[in-house]
Amino acid sequence: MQRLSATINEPFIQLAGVSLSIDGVRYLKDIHLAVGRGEILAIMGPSGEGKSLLLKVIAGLMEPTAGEVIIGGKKRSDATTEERREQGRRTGMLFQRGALFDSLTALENVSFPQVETLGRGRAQSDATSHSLLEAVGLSEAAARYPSEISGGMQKRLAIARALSLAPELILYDDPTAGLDPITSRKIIRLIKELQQRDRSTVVVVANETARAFQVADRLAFVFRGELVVTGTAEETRNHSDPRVAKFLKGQS
Amino acid sequence: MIADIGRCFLFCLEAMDVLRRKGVSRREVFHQIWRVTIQSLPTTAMAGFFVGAIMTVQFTMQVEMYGALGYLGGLSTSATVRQVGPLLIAFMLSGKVGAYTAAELGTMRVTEQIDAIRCLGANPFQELILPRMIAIIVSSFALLAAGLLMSIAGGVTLGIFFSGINPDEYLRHIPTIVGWPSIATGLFKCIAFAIVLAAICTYKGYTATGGARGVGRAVVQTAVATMVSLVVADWCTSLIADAIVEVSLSVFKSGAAL
Repeated sequence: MQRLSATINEPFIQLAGVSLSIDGVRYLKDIHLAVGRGEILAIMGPSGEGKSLLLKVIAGLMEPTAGEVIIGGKKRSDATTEERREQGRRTGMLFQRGALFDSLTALENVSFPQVETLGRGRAQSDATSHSLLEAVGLSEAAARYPSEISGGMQKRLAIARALSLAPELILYDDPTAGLDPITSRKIIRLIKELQQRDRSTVVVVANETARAFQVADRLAFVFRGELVVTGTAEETRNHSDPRVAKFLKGQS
Repeated sequence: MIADIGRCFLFCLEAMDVLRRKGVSRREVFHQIWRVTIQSLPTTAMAGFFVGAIMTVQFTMQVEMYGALGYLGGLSTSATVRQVGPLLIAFMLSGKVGAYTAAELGTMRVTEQIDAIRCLGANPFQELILPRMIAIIVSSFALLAAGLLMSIAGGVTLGIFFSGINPDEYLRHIPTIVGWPSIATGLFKCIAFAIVLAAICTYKGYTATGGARGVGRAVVQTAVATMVSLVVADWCTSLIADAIVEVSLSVFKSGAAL
């Protein structure tokens, strides 16, 4: 893998030789990646080449078959169950299809982690959830169920839920998938604003080149499970790797 | 299949471990008990009524041959308590709650809701699996009781109209024939079947993969696996219950002789 940018200030996420195989099929191959604290990294590449799996490995939802995931200086393989739980609490994730709890209202979705994970009372969690819903522009939809709101609103609701535990690390899996260009732009702007407000570290899987360039400090390209190149928007735009060049031009 | 049984067993062990270490949300357990009971009560009650009716029709001819029509209520209730009742409740629960639970958990799995729960620092076993497992086990007792009462009602009704027996006569021998061994056997089977059903439907739903087709597959596998497992469990529990009753009676008799 070729790293183009110079150094990263205080890496918050480090992947050291991470590989992932499922049922004998190797989906991720020897990935080395570092993401600095407070940085926004966009992971790009064609569909089905391992971007979402990479995000799930970082989130701790999947165990790598080889290599090491280090979050905040702590090796995940060395972490105790409680430390892993704590790492989980400090990580928010937006799933590709939202993964909202359809039997709960918007307010209850956002309150869920505060009530179930932190053990907060209903009144306290509702106050925090209302302010989060306001931040994503969904104050009016607090009592509505996910099925009663639009796709763009569902994405914003999922972002509010991902922020519910005030995480240091936020992972977005294709946050603009299935949205119209105007809503996509709003979502990207929201991600950027929230990151600047909270100074959180963000990793976002993006399929749209324009959105990735708009949001990210650095970009990483995954092809067939391999991390090919990481660098700033300018560096990757002028990169000589034919796969990167083709992808950015929208060719297969 | 053996690997699947092993995985299901490990899944149950993990559930027990979470229950021991972290407990379970009582509010969610009560909610699930209410849902399971309400969901299955009408069909269980109706099926119970007709089981009592069928037993009465079946036993009428035999007891009439020996001039023992008065024992009709006791015999049909005993058969329901020991054998038909628990199995019937389990089949009803399997059809309604088992399929529902597998589909619900399967959908949550394929739409990444279970991953989201983990990602939010909560435990899916604590939030989803244990409340449903406990609810199925607890509800099966309530449903067994309801089913039995309805089977007695069905037996009495058919006894009056089909066998010409009066209600007092039908009910009089129930306490003498349906003793504690019968009730204990019924309860033992009831809990064993509920555990089998709870384990299979939650496991199949939790491990569903592959979108809508995967959820459909999980529901079908739940239906097939529970039916087969319940019949096998019925055979096993009948043997165990009979052996326990036999040992208990011999101990009681030897105690009385001394």
